[in-house]
Amino acid sequence: MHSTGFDASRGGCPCCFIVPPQMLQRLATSGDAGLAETAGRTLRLTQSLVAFRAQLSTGAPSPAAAKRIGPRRQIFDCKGFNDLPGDLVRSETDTAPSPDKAVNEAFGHAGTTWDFYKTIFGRESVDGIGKTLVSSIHYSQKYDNAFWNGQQMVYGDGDGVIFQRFTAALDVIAHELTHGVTQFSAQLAYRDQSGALNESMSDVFGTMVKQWALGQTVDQADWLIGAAIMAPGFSGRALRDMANPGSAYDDPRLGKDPQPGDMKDYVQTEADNGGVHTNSGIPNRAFVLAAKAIGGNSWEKTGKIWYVTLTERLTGNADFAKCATETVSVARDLFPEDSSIAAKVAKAWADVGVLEEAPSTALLANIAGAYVIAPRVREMAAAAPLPKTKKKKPLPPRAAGKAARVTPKKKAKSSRSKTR
Amino acid sequence: MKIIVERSGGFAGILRRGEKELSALSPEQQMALQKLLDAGAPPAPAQMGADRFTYRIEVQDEHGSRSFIFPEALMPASLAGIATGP
Repeated sequence: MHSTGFDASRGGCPCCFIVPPQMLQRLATSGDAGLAETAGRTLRLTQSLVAFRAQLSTGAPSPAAAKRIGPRRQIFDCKGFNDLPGDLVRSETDTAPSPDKAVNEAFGHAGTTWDFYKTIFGRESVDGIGKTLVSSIHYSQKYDNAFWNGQQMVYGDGDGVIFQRFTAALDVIAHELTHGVTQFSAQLAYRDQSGALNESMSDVFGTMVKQWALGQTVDQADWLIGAAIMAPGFSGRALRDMANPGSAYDDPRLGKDPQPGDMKDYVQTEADNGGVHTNSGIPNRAFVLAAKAIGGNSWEKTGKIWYVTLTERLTGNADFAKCATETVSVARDLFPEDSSIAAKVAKAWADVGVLEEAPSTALLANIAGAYVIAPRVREMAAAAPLPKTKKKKPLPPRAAGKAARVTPKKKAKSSRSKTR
Repeated sequence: MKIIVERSGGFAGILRRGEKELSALSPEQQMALQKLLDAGAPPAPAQMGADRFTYRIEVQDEHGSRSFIFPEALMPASLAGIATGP
Protein backbone atom coordinates (compact mmCIF):
# COMPACT_ATOMS: atom_id res chain seq x y z
CA MET A 1 0.00 0.00 0.00
CA HIS A 2 2.73 2.44 -0.90
CA SER A 3 1.35 5.89 -1.56
CA THR A 4 3.05 7.31 -4.58
CA GLY A 5 1.13 10.54 -4.94
CA PHE A 6 -0.69 12.89 -2.66
CA ASP A 7 -4.21 12.71 -1.43
CA ALA A 8 -5.89 16.10 -1.49
CA SER A 9 -8.81 14.79 0.55
CA ARG A 10 -6.64 14.48 3.62
CA GLY A 11 -6.83 18.11 4.53
CA GLY A 12 -4.11 19.45 6.79
CA CYS A 13 -1.56 21.71 5.13
CA PRO A 14 -3.62 23.88 2.80
CA CYS A 15 -0.55 25.63 1.43
CA CYS A 16 0.57 22.49 -0.31
CA PHE A 17 -2.28 20.30 -1.36
CA ILE A 18 -5.74 21.80 -1.34
CA VAL A 19 -5.68 23.81 -4.57
CA PRO A 20 -5.64 21.47 -7.57
CA PRO A 21 -2.33 21.71 -9.49
CA GLN A 22 -4.05 22.70 -12.75
CA MET A 23 -5.59 25.73 -11.00
CA LEU A 24 -2.20 26.77 -9.66
CA GLN A 25 -0.82 26.57 -13.17
CA ARG A 26 -3.50 29.07 -14.29
CA LEU A 27 -2.76 31.37 -11.34
CA ALA A 28 0.95 31.14 -11.99
CA THR A 29 0.44 32.59 -15.44
CA SER A 30 -2.19 35.14 -14.36
CA GLY A 31 -1.73 38.87 -14.76
CA ASP A 32 -1.58 39.60 -11.01
CA ALA A 33 2.13 39.55 -10.25
CA GLY A 34 1.79 38.83 -6.52
CA LEU A 35 -0.76 36.10 -7.04
CA ALA A 36 1.26 34.58 -9.85
CA GLU A 37 4.40 34.57 -7.73
CA THR A 38 2.66 32.92 -4.79
CA ALA A 39 0.96 30.39 -7.03
CA GLY A 40 4.23 29.66 -8.79
CA ARG A 41 5.98 29.07 -5.50
CA THR A 42 3.17 26.85 -4.24
CA LEU A 43 3.19 24.92 -7.49
CA ARG A 44 6.95 24.34 -7.29
CA LEU A 45 6.57 23.24 -3.69
CA THR A 46 3.72 20.88 -4.54
CA GLN A 47 5.59 19.42 -7.50
CA SER A 48 8.72 18.90 -5.47
CA LEU A 49 6.78 17.29 -2.61
CA VAL A 50 5.08 14.93 -5.03
CA ALA A 51 8.43 14.18 -6.61
CA PHE A 52 9.96 13.65 -3.20
CA ARG A 53 7.26 11.21 -2.20
CA ALA A 54 7.74 9.37 -5.48
CA GLN A 55 11.48 9.33 -4.79
CA LEU A 56 10.93 7.80 -1.36
CA SER A 57 8.95 5.00 -2.95
CA THR A 58 11.05 4.43 -6.04
CA GLY A 59 14.51 5.56 -5.02
CA ALA A 60 14.69 7.81 -8.10
CA PRO A 61 16.48 11.13 -7.59
CA SER A 62 14.19 14.12 -7.17
CA PRO A 63 14.74 17.18 -9.37
CA ALA A 64 17.55 19.19 -7.78
CA ALA A 65 16.19 22.54 -8.92
CA ALA A 66 13.48 22.94 -6.27
CA LYS A 67 15.45 21.39 -3.45
CA ARG A 68 17.73 23.46 -1.26
CA ILE A 69 20.67 21.54 0.10
CA GLY A 70 22.18 22.05 3.54
CA PRO A 71 20.87 23.40 6.83
CA ARG A 72 19.44 26.89 7.16
CA ARG A 73 18.77 28.03 10.72
CA GLN A 74 17.51 31.34 12.05
CA ILE A 75 17.12 32.19 15.73
CA PHE A 76 14.87 35.07 16.72
CA ASP A 77 14.59 36.67 20.17
CA CYS A 78 11.06 37.60 21.33
CA LYS A 79 12.53 39.38 24.40
CA GLY A 80 9.56 38.44 26.54
CA PHE A 81 6.91 39.61 24.08
CA ASN A 82 4.34 37.41 22.33
CA ASP A 83 5.12 38.91 18.94
CA LEU A 84 6.50 36.32 16.49
CA PRO A 85 9.09 35.83 15.22
CA GLY A 86 10.90 38.62 17.15
CA ASP A 87 14.36 40.02 16.33
CA LEU A 88 16.86 37.97 14.32
CA VAL A 89 19.87 37.20 16.56
CA ARG A 90 21.70 34.36 14.83
CA SER A 91 21.60 32.73 11.41
CA GLU A 92 23.41 29.93 9.61
CA THR A 93 26.53 31.86 8.68
CA ASP A 94 27.12 33.28 12.18
CA THR A 95 29.77 30.96 13.54
CA ALA A 96 30.40 32.98 16.70
CA PRO A 97 28.34 31.77 19.65
CA SER A 98 25.99 34.24 21.31
CA PRO A 99 26.47 35.28 24.94
CA ASP A 100 22.86 34.06 25.38
CA LYS A 101 22.79 30.31 26.17
CA ALA A 102 19.27 29.91 24.79
CA VAL A 103 20.37 31.21 21.38
CA ASN A 104 23.15 28.65 21.14
CA GLU A 105 21.00 25.80 22.41
CA ALA A 106 18.22 26.51 19.90
CA PHE A 107 20.83 26.83 17.14
CA GLY A 108 22.87 23.78 18.13
CA HIS A 109 20.00 21.39 18.83
CA ALA A 110 18.20 22.38 15.60
CA GLY A 111 21.46 21.65 13.78
CA THR A 112 21.83 18.24 15.43
CA THR A 113 18.23 17.39 14.52
CA TRP A 114 18.81 18.55 10.93
CA ASP A 115 21.97 16.39 10.75
CA PHE A 116 20.12 13.38 12.13
CA TYR A 117 17.33 13.54 9.54
CA LYS A 118 19.86 14.12 6.72
CA THR A 119 22.39 11.49 7.77
CA ILE A 120 20.01 8.74 8.82
CA PHE A 121 17.07 9.23 6.46
CA GLY A 122 18.46 11.47 3.70
CA ARG A 123 15.86 14.11 4.53
CA GLU A 124 16.64 17.77 3.80
CA SER A 125 14.94 19.65 6.65
CA VAL A 126 11.40 19.10 7.91
CA ASP A 127 9.76 19.39 4.49
CA GLY A 128 12.37 17.33 2.66
CA ILE A 129 13.28 20.23 0.37
CA GLY A 130 15.34 22.46 2.63
CA LYS A 131 12.90 24.61 4.59
CA THR A 132 14.68 27.14 6.83
CA LEU A 133 14.45 26.09 10.48
CA VAL A 134 13.13 29.14 12.30
CA SER A 135 13.19 29.23 16.12
CA SER A 136 11.96 31.98 18.41
CA ILE A 137 13.28 32.05 21.97
CA HIS A 138 12.36 34.00 25.13
CA TYR A 139 8.72 33.91 24.02
CA SER A 140 6.30 35.65 26.42
CA GLN A 141 6.92 35.84 30.19
CA LYS A 142 7.79 32.77 32.27
CA TYR A 143 6.19 30.79 29.48
CA ASP A 144 5.92 27.08 30.35
CA ASN A 145 5.90 25.67 26.86
CA ALA A 146 7.50 24.99 23.52
CA PHE A 147 5.40 24.61 20.40
CA TRP A 148 5.41 24.29 16.61
CA ASN A 149 3.03 26.85 15.11
CA GLY A 150 2.84 25.33 11.63
CA GLN A 151 5.76 27.42 10.38
CA GLN A 152 8.38 27.59 13.10
CA MET A 153 9.40 26.56 16.62
CA VAL A 154 8.68 28.72 19.67
CA TYR A 155 10.36 28.34 23.08
CA GLY A 156 9.50 29.77 26.46
CA ASP A 157 11.89 30.36 29.36
CA GLY A 158 9.78 28.40 31.87
CA ASP A 159 8.66 29.65 35.26
CA GLY A 160 11.93 28.66 36.95
CA VAL A 161 10.04 26.58 39.53
CA ILE A 162 8.69 23.64 37.54
CA PHE A 163 10.25 24.33 34.16
CA GLN A 164 13.48 25.92 33.09
CA ARG A 165 14.12 27.14 29.56
CA PHE A 166 12.74 24.76 26.93
CA THR A 167 15.78 25.09 24.64
CA ALA A 168 17.91 23.18 27.17
CA ALA A 169 16.86 19.73 25.92
CA LEU A 170 17.80 18.21 22.57
CA ASP A 171 14.83 15.83 22.77
CA VAL A 172 12.44 18.79 23.17
CA ILE A 173 13.80 20.56 20.09
CA ALA A 174 13.84 17.34 18.04
CA HIS A 175 10.24 16.73 19.23
CA GLU A 176 9.12 20.14 17.93
CA LEU A 177 10.94 19.74 14.60
CA THR A 178 9.37 16.32 14.13
CA HIS A 179 5.95 18.01 14.30
CA GLY A 180 7.19 19.78 11.17
CA VAL A 181 8.17 16.47 9.55
CA THR A 182 4.72 15.06 10.35
CA GLN A 183 3.02 18.17 8.98
CA PHE A 184 4.87 17.74 5.68
CA SER A 185 4.31 13.97 5.49
CA ALA A 186 1.50 12.01 7.17
CA GLN A 187 -0.33 15.17 8.36
CA LEU A 188 -1.74 13.28 11.33
CA ALA A 189 -4.84 15.16 12.51
CA TYR A 190 -4.18 16.67 15.92
CA ARG A 191 -6.87 14.99 17.98
CA ASP A 192 -7.76 11.61 19.50
CA GLN A 193 -5.73 8.63 18.24
CA SER A 194 -4.25 10.32 15.16
CA GLY A 195 -3.21 13.22 17.41
CA ALA A 196 -1.68 10.83 19.95
CA LEU A 197 0.25 9.22 17.07
CA ASN A 198 1.39 12.71 16.01
CA GLU A 199 2.66 13.28 19.56
CA SER A 200 4.19 9.82 19.77
CA MET A 201 6.13 10.31 16.52
CA SER A 202 7.57 13.51 18.00
CA ASP A 203 8.64 11.68 21.18
CA VAL A 204 9.97 8.68 19.21
CA PHE A 205 12.17 10.79 16.93
CA GLY A 206 12.91 13.22 19.77
CA THR A 207 14.50 10.48 21.87
CA MET A 208 16.08 8.91 18.79
CA VAL A 209 17.93 12.14 17.97
CA LYS A 210 19.16 12.31 21.57
CA GLN A 211 20.31 8.68 21.51
CA TRP A 212 22.05 9.24 18.17
CA ALA A 213 23.84 12.33 19.45
CA LEU A 214 24.96 10.46 22.59
CA GLY A 215 25.80 7.24 20.73
CA GLN A 216 23.48 5.24 22.98
CA THR A 217 22.10 1.80 22.20
CA VAL A 218 18.49 0.95 23.07
CA ASP A 219 19.73 -0.64 26.30
CA GLN A 220 21.74 2.44 27.32
CA ALA A 221 18.97 4.96 26.50
CA ASP A 222 16.87 6.45 29.32
CA TRP A 223 13.74 6.87 27.11
CA LEU A 224 12.82 10.02 29.07
CA ILE A 225 11.27 13.08 27.44
CA GLY A 226 11.96 16.54 28.84
CA ALA A 227 14.31 15.51 31.66
CA ALA A 228 16.67 18.42 30.92
CA ILE A 229 14.01 21.16 31.10
CA MET A 230 12.70 20.39 34.58
CA ALA A 231 13.55 22.88 37.33
CA PRO A 232 14.59 21.88 40.88
CA GLY A 233 11.04 22.40 42.17
CA PHE A 234 9.67 19.52 40.10
CA SER A 235 9.14 16.10 41.68
CA GLY A 236 9.89 13.59 38.99
CA ARG A 237 12.40 12.24 36.47
CA ALA A 238 10.94 13.86 33.35
CA LEU A 239 7.63 14.72 31.67
CA ARG A 240 7.25 11.35 30.01
CA ASP A 241 8.89 7.95 30.33
CA MET A 242 8.43 6.13 27.04
CA ALA A 243 9.51 2.80 28.52
CA ASN A 244 7.25 3.08 31.58
CA PRO A 245 4.40 5.47 30.76
CA GLY A 246 2.65 6.84 33.85
CA SER A 247 5.75 6.78 36.04
CA ALA A 248 7.64 9.93 35.01
CA TYR A 249 6.45 12.19 37.84
CA ASP A 250 4.30 12.49 40.91
CA ASP A 251 4.25 16.13 41.94
CA PRO A 252 2.15 17.76 44.68
CA ARG A 253 1.20 20.66 42.37
CA LEU A 254 0.92 18.81 39.06
CA GLY A 255 -0.43 15.45 40.14
CA LYS A 256 0.75 12.15 38.74
CA ASP A 257 1.91 11.33 35.22
CA PRO A 258 -1.39 10.27 33.56
CA GLN A 259 0.03 8.35 30.58
CA PRO A 260 -1.29 4.85 29.91
CA GLY A 261 1.02 2.19 28.50
CA ASP A 262 -1.70 -0.22 27.42
CA MET A 263 -4.85 0.10 25.33
CA LYS A 264 -7.02 -1.09 28.24
CA ASP A 265 -6.12 2.15 30.06
CA TYR A 266 -6.77 4.50 27.08
CA VAL A 267 -7.95 7.84 28.49
CA GLN A 268 -11.19 9.29 27.08
CA THR A 269 -11.12 13.03 27.64
CA GLU A 270 -12.09 16.30 26.01
CA ALA A 271 -8.99 18.08 27.29
CA ASP A 272 -5.83 18.41 25.17
CA ASN A 273 -7.57 17.56 21.90
CA GLY A 274 -8.67 14.19 23.23
CA GLY A 275 -5.62 13.52 25.36
CA VAL A 276 -3.01 13.60 22.60
CA HIS A 277 -0.15 14.00 25.12
CA THR A 278 -1.66 11.31 27.36
CA ASN A 279 -2.54 8.44 25.05
CA SER A 280 0.74 8.85 23.16
CA GLY A 281 2.11 6.68 25.99
CA ILE A 282 0.65 3.61 24.26
CA PRO A 283 2.43 3.93 20.87
CA ASN A 284 5.52 5.28 22.70
CA ARG A 285 5.78 2.07 24.70
CA ALA A 286 5.18 0.00 21.56
CA PHE A 287 8.20 1.68 19.96
CA VAL A 288 10.41 1.05 23.00
CA LEU A 289 9.38 -2.62 23.19
CA ALA A 290 10.04 -3.10 19.46
CA ALA A 291 13.38 -1.25 19.64
CA LYS A 292 14.53 -3.30 22.65
CA ALA A 293 13.46 -6.58 21.05
CA ILE A 294 15.22 -5.71 17.78
CA GLY A 295 18.22 -4.35 19.68
CA GLY A 296 21.21 -2.24 18.66
CA ASN A 297 20.72 1.45 17.93
CA SER A 298 17.14 2.66 17.75
CA TRP A 299 17.72 4.64 14.55
CA GLU A 300 19.13 1.75 12.52
CA LYS A 301 16.24 -0.67 12.16
CA THR A 302 13.28 0.24 14.38
CA GLY A 303 13.67 3.96 13.64
CA LYS A 304 13.75 3.31 9.91
CA ILE A 305 10.53 1.28 10.16
CA TRP A 306 8.81 4.12 12.01
CA TYR A 307 10.20 6.75 9.60
CA VAL A 308 8.94 4.99 6.47
CA THR A 309 5.60 4.41 8.21
CA LEU A 310 5.30 8.12 9.05
CA THR A 311 6.43 9.49 5.71
CA GLU A 312 4.99 6.93 3.29
CA ARG A 313 2.20 4.90 4.86
CA LEU A 314 0.13 6.92 7.32
CA THR A 315 -2.45 9.51 6.37
CA GLY A 316 -4.24 12.16 8.40
CA ASN A 317 -6.85 10.04 10.15
CA ALA A 318 -4.64 7.04 10.95
CA ASP A 319 -5.36 5.35 14.29
CA PHE A 320 -3.25 3.08 16.51
CA ALA A 321 -4.36 -0.07 14.68
CA LYS A 322 -3.36 1.43 11.32
CA CYS A 323 0.03 2.43 12.69
CA ALA A 324 0.53 -1.06 14.14
CA THR A 325 -0.31 -2.89 10.93
CA GLU A 326 1.70 -0.49 8.76
CA THR A 327 4.83 -0.74 10.91
CA VAL A 328 4.62 -4.54 10.67
CA SER A 329 4.15 -4.30 6.91
CA VAL A 330 7.07 -1.85 6.53
CA ALA A 331 9.26 -4.13 8.67
CA ARG A 332 8.52 -6.98 6.25
CA ASP A 333 9.32 -4.77 3.23
CA LEU A 334 12.54 -3.32 4.65
CA PHE A 335 13.88 -6.57 6.09
CA PRO A 336 12.56 -9.36 3.85
CA GLU A 337 15.49 -11.60 4.76
CA ASP A 338 14.75 -11.46 8.50
CA SER A 339 11.09 -12.11 9.32
CA SER A 340 11.84 -11.98 13.04
CA ILE A 341 11.95 -8.17 12.84
CA ALA A 342 8.33 -7.87 11.69
CA ALA A 343 7.37 -10.45 14.33
CA LYS A 344 9.05 -8.36 17.05
CA VAL A 345 7.21 -5.23 15.90
CA ALA A 346 3.90 -7.13 15.94
CA LYS A 347 4.61 -8.49 19.41
CA ALA A 348 5.36 -4.98 20.70
CA TRP A 349 1.95 -3.76 19.51
CA ALA A 350 0.37 -6.85 21.08
CA ASP A 351 2.11 -6.11 24.38
CA VAL A 352 0.41 -2.69 24.51
CA GLY A 353 -2.97 -4.19 23.61
CA VAL A 354 -3.37 -2.81 20.08
CA LEU A 355 -2.85 -6.19 18.41
CA GLU A 356 -3.46 -9.61 19.88
CA GLU A 357 -2.45 -13.14 19.04
CA ALA A 358 -4.73 -14.56 16.39
CA PRO A 359 -6.89 -17.56 17.19
CA SER A 360 -5.85 -20.37 14.85
CA THR A 361 -9.19 -20.18 13.02
CA ALA A 362 -8.56 -16.58 12.02
CA LEU A 363 -5.19 -17.05 10.35
CA LEU A 364 -6.54 -16.24 6.91
CA ALA A 365 -7.80 -12.89 8.11
CA ASN A 366 -4.73 -11.90 10.05
CA ILE A 367 -2.76 -8.80 9.21
CA ALA A 368 0.46 -9.24 11.06
CA GLY A 369 1.64 -12.80 10.91
CA ALA A 370 0.21 -14.39 14.00
CA TYR A 371 -1.56 -11.24 15.19
CA VAL A 372 -4.88 -9.48 14.59
CA ILE A 373 -6.20 -6.14 15.75
CA ALA A 374 -7.39 -6.48 19.34
CA PRO A 375 -11.21 -6.54 19.66
CA ARG A 376 -11.14 -3.57 22.06
CA VAL A 377 -9.32 -1.51 19.43
CA ARG A 378 -11.67 -2.62 16.64
CA GLU A 379 -14.66 -1.63 18.76
CA MET A 380 -13.19 1.79 19.49
CA ALA A 381 -12.65 2.42 15.79
CA ALA A 382 -16.20 1.33 14.97
CA ALA A 383 -17.81 3.27 17.82
CA ALA A 384 -19.57 6.54 17.21
CA PRO A 385 -17.82 9.69 18.43
CA LEU A 386 -17.83 10.20 22.19
CA PRO A 387 -21.32 10.82 23.54
CA LYS A 388 -21.68 14.45 24.54
CA THR A 389 -21.89 14.94 28.25
CA LYS A 390 -25.21 16.23 29.50
CA LYS A 391 -25.53 19.96 29.09
CA LYS A 392 -26.19 22.08 32.11
CA LYS A 393 -28.90 24.65 31.91
CA PRO A 394 -27.13 27.65 30.41
CA LEU A 395 -26.76 30.80 32.41
CA PRO A 396 -28.93 33.60 31.10
CA PRO A 397 -27.03 36.44 29.44
CA ARG A 398 -25.71 39.10 31.82
CA ALA A 399 -25.84 36.61 34.66
CA ALA A 400 -22.42 37.73 35.74
CA GLY A 401 -23.70 41.16 36.54
CA LYS A 402 -26.71 39.83 38.43
CA ALA A 403 -24.78 37.15 40.20
CA ALA A 404 -22.23 39.69 41.24
CA ARG A 405 -24.84 41.06 43.58
CA VAL A 406 -25.90 37.77 45.11
CA THR A 407 -24.07 35.78 47.70
CA PRO A 408 -22.23 32.93 46.04
CA LYS A 409 -23.90 29.59 46.73
CA LYS A 410 -22.47 26.13 46.84
CA LYS A 411 -21.20 25.01 43.49
CA ALA A 412 -23.17 22.92 41.06
CA LYS A 413 -20.88 20.06 40.23
CA SER A 414 -20.08 19.98 36.56
CA SER A 415 -20.79 16.75 34.75
CA ARG A 416 -17.97 17.63 32.36
CA SER A 417 -15.37 17.31 35.03
CA LYS A 418 -16.00 13.57 35.18
CA THR A 419 -14.50 13.16 31.76
CA ARG A 420 -11.26 14.83 32.75
CA MET B 1 -20.48 32.69 41.39
CA LYS B 2 -17.34 30.70 40.74
CA ILE B 3 -14.99 30.78 37.79
CA ILE B 4 -12.88 27.73 36.92
CA VAL B 5 -10.07 27.95 34.40
CA GLU B 6 -8.43 24.84 32.98
CA ARG B 7 -5.38 24.76 30.74
CA SER B 8 -4.65 21.54 28.86
CA GLY B 9 -2.08 20.49 26.28
CA GLY B 10 1.26 22.12 25.69
CA PHE B 11 4.46 20.12 25.26
CA ALA B 12 4.11 18.82 28.83
CA GLY B 13 0.46 17.83 28.45
CA ILE B 14 -0.13 18.66 32.10
CA LEU B 15 -3.66 19.75 33.02
CA ARG B 16 -3.62 22.87 35.21
CA ARG B 17 -6.81 23.95 36.95
CA GLY B 18 -7.59 26.91 39.14
CA GLU B 19 -10.77 28.50 40.47
CA LYS B 20 -11.79 31.79 41.98
CA GLU B 21 -14.91 33.35 43.43
CA LEU B 22 -16.24 36.27 41.44
CA SER B 23 -15.59 38.54 44.41
CA ALA B 24 -11.89 37.66 44.30
CA LEU B 25 -11.47 38.76 40.68
CA SER B 26 -9.73 42.02 39.82
CA PRO B 27 -11.81 44.70 38.05
CA GLU B 28 -9.98 43.85 34.82
CA GLN B 29 -10.80 40.16 35.22
CA GLN B 30 -14.45 40.96 36.02
CA MET B 31 -14.69 43.03 32.84
CA ALA B 32 -13.21 40.21 30.75
CA LEU B 33 -15.66 37.76 32.31
CA GLN B 34 -18.61 40.10 31.76
CA LYS B 35 -17.65 40.45 28.11
CA LEU B 36 -17.40 36.68 27.76
CA LEU B 37 -20.83 36.09 29.31
CA ASP B 38 -22.42 38.81 27.17
CA ALA B 39 -20.87 37.95 23.83
CA GLY B 40 -19.70 34.36 24.25
CA ALA B 41 -16.40 33.00 23.01
CA PRO B 42 -15.40 34.17 19.54
CA PRO B 43 -15.56 31.50 16.83
CA ALA B 44 -12.18 29.83 16.92
CA PRO B 45 -10.43 28.28 13.94
CA ALA B 46 -8.50 25.10 14.70
CA GLN B 47 -5.06 25.88 16.04
CA MET B 48 -2.25 25.36 13.56
CA GLY B 49 0.76 23.34 14.57
CA ALA B 50 1.19 21.28 17.71
CA ASP B 51 1.79 21.52 21.46
CA ARG B 52 -0.37 24.63 21.87
CA PHE B 53 -2.38 25.19 25.04
CA THR B 54 -6.17 24.93 25.06
CA TYR B 55 -8.18 26.75 27.74
CA ARG B 56 -11.61 26.02 29.18
CA ILE B 57 -13.41 28.58 31.30
CA GLU B 58 -16.37 27.37 33.32
CA VAL B 59 -18.66 29.77 35.10
CA GLN B 60 -20.92 28.35 37.81
CA ASP B 61 -23.69 29.92 39.81
CA GLU B 62 -27.01 28.87 41.29
CA HIS B 63 -28.60 28.95 37.82
CA GLY B 64 -26.23 26.37 36.36
CA SER B 65 -22.98 26.56 34.48
CA ARG B 66 -21.53 27.63 31.14
CA SER B 67 -18.29 26.54 29.52
CA PHE B 68 -16.14 28.35 26.99
CA ILE B 69 -13.25 26.79 25.05
CA PHE B 70 -10.39 28.99 23.85
CA PRO B 71 -7.33 28.30 21.76
CA GLU B 72 -4.30 29.84 23.43
CA ALA B 73 -4.13 32.79 21.05
CA LEU B 74 -7.69 33.94 21.81
CA MET B 75 -7.76 33.35 25.57
CA PRO B 76 -8.42 36.56 27.53
CA ALA B 77 -5.00 37.26 29.01
CA SER B 78 -6.32 38.48 32.35
CA LEU B 79 -8.13 35.17 32.98
CA ALA B 80 -5.45 32.77 31.73
CA GLY B 81 -3.35 33.01 34.89
CA ILE B 82 -6.17 31.59 37.05
CA ALA B 83 -5.32 28.11 35.69
CA THR B 84 -1.83 28.16 37.18
CA GLY B 85 -1.73 30.97 39.71
CA PRO B 86 -2.22 30.71 43.44
